[in-house]
Amino acid sequence: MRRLWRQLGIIWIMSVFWFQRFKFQRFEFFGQLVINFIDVGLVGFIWYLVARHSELPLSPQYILSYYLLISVTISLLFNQLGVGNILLKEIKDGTFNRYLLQPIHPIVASYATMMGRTLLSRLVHIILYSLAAVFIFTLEIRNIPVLLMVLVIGFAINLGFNVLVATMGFYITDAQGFKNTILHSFRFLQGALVPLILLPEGLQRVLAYTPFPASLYWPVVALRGDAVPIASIAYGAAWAVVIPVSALYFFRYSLRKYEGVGI
Amino acid sequence: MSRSGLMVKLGWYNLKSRWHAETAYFGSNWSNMFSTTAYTATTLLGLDFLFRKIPDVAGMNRNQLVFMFIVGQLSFYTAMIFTIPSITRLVDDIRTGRLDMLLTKPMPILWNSLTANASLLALVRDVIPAAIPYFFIAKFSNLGFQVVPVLCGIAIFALGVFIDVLVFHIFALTTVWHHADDVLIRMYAYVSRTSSFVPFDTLPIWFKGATFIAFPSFIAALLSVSVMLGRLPAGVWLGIVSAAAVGTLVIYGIVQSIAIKAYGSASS
Repeated sequence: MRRLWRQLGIIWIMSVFWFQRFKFQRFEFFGQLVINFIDVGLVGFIWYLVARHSELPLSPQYILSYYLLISVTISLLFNQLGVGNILLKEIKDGTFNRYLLQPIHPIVASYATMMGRTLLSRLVHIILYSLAAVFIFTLEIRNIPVLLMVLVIGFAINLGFNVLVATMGFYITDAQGFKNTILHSFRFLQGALVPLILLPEGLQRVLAYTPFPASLYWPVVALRGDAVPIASIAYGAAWAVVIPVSALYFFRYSLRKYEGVGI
Repeated sequence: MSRSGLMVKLGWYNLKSRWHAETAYFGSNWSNMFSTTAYTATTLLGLDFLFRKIPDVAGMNRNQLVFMFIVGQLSFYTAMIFTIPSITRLVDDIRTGRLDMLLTKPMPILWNSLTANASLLALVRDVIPAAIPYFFIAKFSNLGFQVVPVLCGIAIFALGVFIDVLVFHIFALTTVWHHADDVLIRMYAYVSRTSSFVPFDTLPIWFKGATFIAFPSFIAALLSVSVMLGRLPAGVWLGIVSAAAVGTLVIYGIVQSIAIKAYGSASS
């Protein structure tokens, strides 16, 4: 327990360290703020237009909220494999060495770095979501425990995916493109490209047994205030244990293959 | 040697040197090709499933939408290849003071920045897997193409990429005043270019106007398609885009001369 608190303390310090650059780079602070608002606004606006001019079986309001929540969820759950990407680069250029000498786990350090670099965008997403939850969605207080559970499951599965991507770095020198390949495939399987509800029913049934809906689609549904089937939560919970545990074991095993100058 | 001759020679040497650097170790090119292929395959799969449920998206049938995605992919990669690497280089030159050294050399420095990191290999490596599958799926004979709108659309596409590249270079030149790194520009380029998937004619009038300043990537990716498909009057839009291209070039010239005068570093 003490070790966990220590690691959490280091995450906090590292995140603050990365975030502090905005104190001296005010232009970047406001620039990133504006771009984040444009990003969310543009995605919502474009999808709203598409839905308004199409005969989709879902209302324009649903499509608009769905794709806005995709942006929020991706940001909250570290879904873009950015944490894995940081480690991939460090393994490739040898800067990974430092973690072997420092009292911090490399995965924890990557999360802290990522958090500090992108804290502004995450804050924008949380503020926008809170406003939407009050004024647009029907998020009731009794749904909050389920929402938190679904978010924790999603976070754990994405942690596993990030660790697996990082582990590729121990075996493949140019894993960046392969990471992007995985990312594009996930975009489809997780419902970020087309809502899973619009996929053929057979494919939806197959996907229900996989970890992909629980890593993005169900958190989006829960954030909208809609019901998440208990079976889906159960499958997600099982994956949330299996994937991170096996990924962390595989990472530790692969670490033995790592060779760096000075080690 | 004349200035234009020098520019051609410099551009050729830059492209050649970049080609050698990227083909020296080929592994990363294969993984990039896998990535682009995965993107294309999943997008086509998504479109296929969508069109099993609905007859059209924003007034476009499956065939027209596939065509819009081909043009979108072509414009995305062409504009990205000629903006992102060169912007990174230019911003870095300004922030580190390396521009000092370049200013002392008898060469067009901004042309050098534009071509120094432009990758012909990336054009082949990324555009081919991104566009070829669409060409097999799209039924061009069903698109009802007519000669004049198609020619105007192609011209709008070329001018759109030109405007897009210039606008992002104007953003890069502003680094002499704010000194921020290139992350902001790269973020903005990515945000605006990945959102271009709605037919241009469905955009509200105020947004159509805004694209020329705020989202120039929409011109090549969307406006050219609507013109080629005959959904917008070709002559009128070619005139507007040509005027916008000239205007952007003039603004670029002005910003360039002001920025170079305002540039100051440790040694200047």
